[in-house]
Amino acid sequence: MYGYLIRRLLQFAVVLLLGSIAVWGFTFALPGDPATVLLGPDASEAELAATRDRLGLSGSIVEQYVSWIGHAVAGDLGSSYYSGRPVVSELLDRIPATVQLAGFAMALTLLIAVPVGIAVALWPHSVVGRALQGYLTAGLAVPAFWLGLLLIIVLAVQLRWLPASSDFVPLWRDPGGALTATILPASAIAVHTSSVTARFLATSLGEVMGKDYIRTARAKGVPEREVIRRHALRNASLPTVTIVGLQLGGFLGGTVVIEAVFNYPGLGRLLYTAIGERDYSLVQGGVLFVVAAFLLLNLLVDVFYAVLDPRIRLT
Amino acid sequence: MTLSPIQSRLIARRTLLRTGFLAAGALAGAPLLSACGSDSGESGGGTAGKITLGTTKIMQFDPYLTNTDIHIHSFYTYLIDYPSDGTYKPNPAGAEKWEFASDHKSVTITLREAKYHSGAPVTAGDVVTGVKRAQDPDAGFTLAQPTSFIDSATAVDDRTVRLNFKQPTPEPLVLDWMFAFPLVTAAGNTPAKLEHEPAGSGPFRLAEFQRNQRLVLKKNPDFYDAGKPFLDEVEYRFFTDEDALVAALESGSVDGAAYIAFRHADRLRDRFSLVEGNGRMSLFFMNALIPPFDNKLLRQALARAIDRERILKQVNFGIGDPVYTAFMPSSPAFDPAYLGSHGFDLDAAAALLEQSGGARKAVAGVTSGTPSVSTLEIIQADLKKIGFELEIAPQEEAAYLEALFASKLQCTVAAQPNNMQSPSLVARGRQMLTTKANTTFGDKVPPAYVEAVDAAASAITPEEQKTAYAALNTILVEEAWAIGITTMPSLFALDKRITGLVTDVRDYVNLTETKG
Repeated sequence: MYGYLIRRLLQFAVVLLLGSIAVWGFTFALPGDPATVLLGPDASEAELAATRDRLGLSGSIVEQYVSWIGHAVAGDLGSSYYSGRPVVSELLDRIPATVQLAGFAMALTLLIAVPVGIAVALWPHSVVGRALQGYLTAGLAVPAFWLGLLLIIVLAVQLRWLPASSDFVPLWRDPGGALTATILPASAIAVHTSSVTARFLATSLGEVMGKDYIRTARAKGVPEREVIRRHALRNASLPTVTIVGLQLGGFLGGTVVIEAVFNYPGLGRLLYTAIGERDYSLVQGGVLFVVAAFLLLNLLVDVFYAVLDPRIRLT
Repeated sequence: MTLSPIQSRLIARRTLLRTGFLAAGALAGAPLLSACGSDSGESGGGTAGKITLGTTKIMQFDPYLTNTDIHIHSFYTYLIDYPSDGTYKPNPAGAEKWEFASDHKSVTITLREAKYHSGAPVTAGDVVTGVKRAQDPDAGFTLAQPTSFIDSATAVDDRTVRLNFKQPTPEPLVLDWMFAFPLVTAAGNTPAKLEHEPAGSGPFRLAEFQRNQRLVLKKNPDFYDAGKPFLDEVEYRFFTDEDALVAALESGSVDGAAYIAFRHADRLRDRFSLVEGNGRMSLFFMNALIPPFDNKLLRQALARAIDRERILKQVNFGIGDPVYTAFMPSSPAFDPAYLGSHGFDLDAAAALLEQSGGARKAVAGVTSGTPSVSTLEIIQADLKKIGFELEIAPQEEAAYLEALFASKLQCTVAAQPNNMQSPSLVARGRQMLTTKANTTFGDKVPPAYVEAVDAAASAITPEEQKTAYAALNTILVEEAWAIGITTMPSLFALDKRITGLVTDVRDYVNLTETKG
């Protein structure tokens, strides 16, 4: 187990290094000049050049990357070109907001997906089952940003029940405020992801329900509820755990559009703005965090496999 | 990538779809979330002297730079003010009084007794330092060309400064300069220091700034105009998406939305106060350094193919006025006759195009998602009728600016600032410079244009001015590289409780007399 973890952590380092090189290359391939964005259209060539010097943009791409990675290894991800603040501070300001949104969205996803997935698997031909299958199809078809706009128009603009733009209200300070501020973006995300998760769960649960050991459990007189909970659901949840892990990783860096639609001050919006402004240091630091978080979640999913299924050994 | 008018209609189609699903959304979504329904408690204020304004603009604190329109007037006092109605009657502000020498070769300015936000007094030395920075093209940015008439600045005493001019200079040019000249502490007047913190004496002080999230201003109790500003606090919230900004306004999350697109005007008109600022102009620029626009006749041909009325109706939603050269209707050089004599005429355009013998194909660069794209689509459709193929290539803003400054764009539609009451200020923009830094002509700036700008900058008497401005218009029309399209007033939608929000003639927001 420990050997496995150490190997995976070493793989992390390699993936992070390759990822940082790729992001650096892609970012510099984009046309656009950070100094121009910073100083505005009337800045002179001399001042643009001075600003490029100050931002460390005068050397070649390779020189800049080597300098950056050298500092990054020591924990210094540089400073944002525009705010002047350390990239680490910028990220630490936004990560709690993104984690909270991801947490809310995942909680909603599971709250919807588990009962819906079970119902669809157990009663596929009933009226409820068919209605829920309709929900799953609609949930997959509707883009999250479109649903977000719809929720804003109805619940924020028309009914004025919830705010259209979402501030970050820390859950530990004001749980009610946090729920109010986060429920709309979390719902917009969760409708789509719950449909995916529920489909996976329904499919694997449907397969498991036909297995011999389920028939055996029933023959032994185990109550149906226990058959589902202890025997079927536990075995059927392995692929679902995989998809939940991937979704959670995606939430950390991939809710850019939702954060823009709801003006939510999370990591996605920070990265989106940084890319538009060619704030290379911030883009690089942000992407590294997202990649690291994604890898870590995958590792946790692997570990969770072993917990769910004792036959799986991490070696 | 070529965009067709159909693509822009798709946006309206999306809006229809969105609206059409409102009822369904209400039925399906409301029960789901009704348990969470409550007063969001995020009305954004609007009471107790505080307002919250939403904006999509990027900000920094250096008044010598652009992209500061929305907040810079709150932090700095300028030497004089102009009324917000677009006229040019000078009102004392940072300067208490000023006196021009009879030979028009100097002005003596007496500063008002005032304090910076730091508590330091405003002194003549600050003006001298500011003039020196403005005179340096490498540090002065927007003020460099307007300051070029000044030979030297001398502090006569702590509150008196004398400006000596290089030559007899018309008063309107000096007043326009005074209007645009901010009072900044001498110690803090560098680009590096002003990047993150203002150093002015304006009506509001900086209380909090989280880049791309919020900017909070607090009333400056030491502001020279006693009792003003009326507001205790102003909060700006930043939005990356304009539709999100407008939704926030409609839901009450913010009290006002600043610099929004014209397309929102009709929908918001009934529920909010719409304020039209003085705005800028949109111009069609053709790059004389790149074929086919090195052909003057071809440029003149395309200049006749711009349907301003249609652009006003379809892009500006009826807001704004047509312009022909780079002068707003309030400019003394504005000559509406050109709109008739050189206005939209496809037959004339076709004839000139034929006569030019130039290639009939070009690519227009433009920032994606802006009204300029729609403007170009209209021009594109009309040019197609006369056999000229205009491809539209929308780009992200950073990429667009880089290409524009590097003179790599064949043509574009871009905004130009108001040249106020000094037509010579037309030569501020990169495409309009009289030097070889001009991105349209390089080292081949037409000498007649340089002479016309110089003449406009030195015309003292009304007769001289009339002649000089006419000559400037003539050369602009003849060379036809910067074709005026329409004025682009800025648009603000405000909660009806908010009054007194105006923009000055440069289109900078002035909150001094705003009440919430």
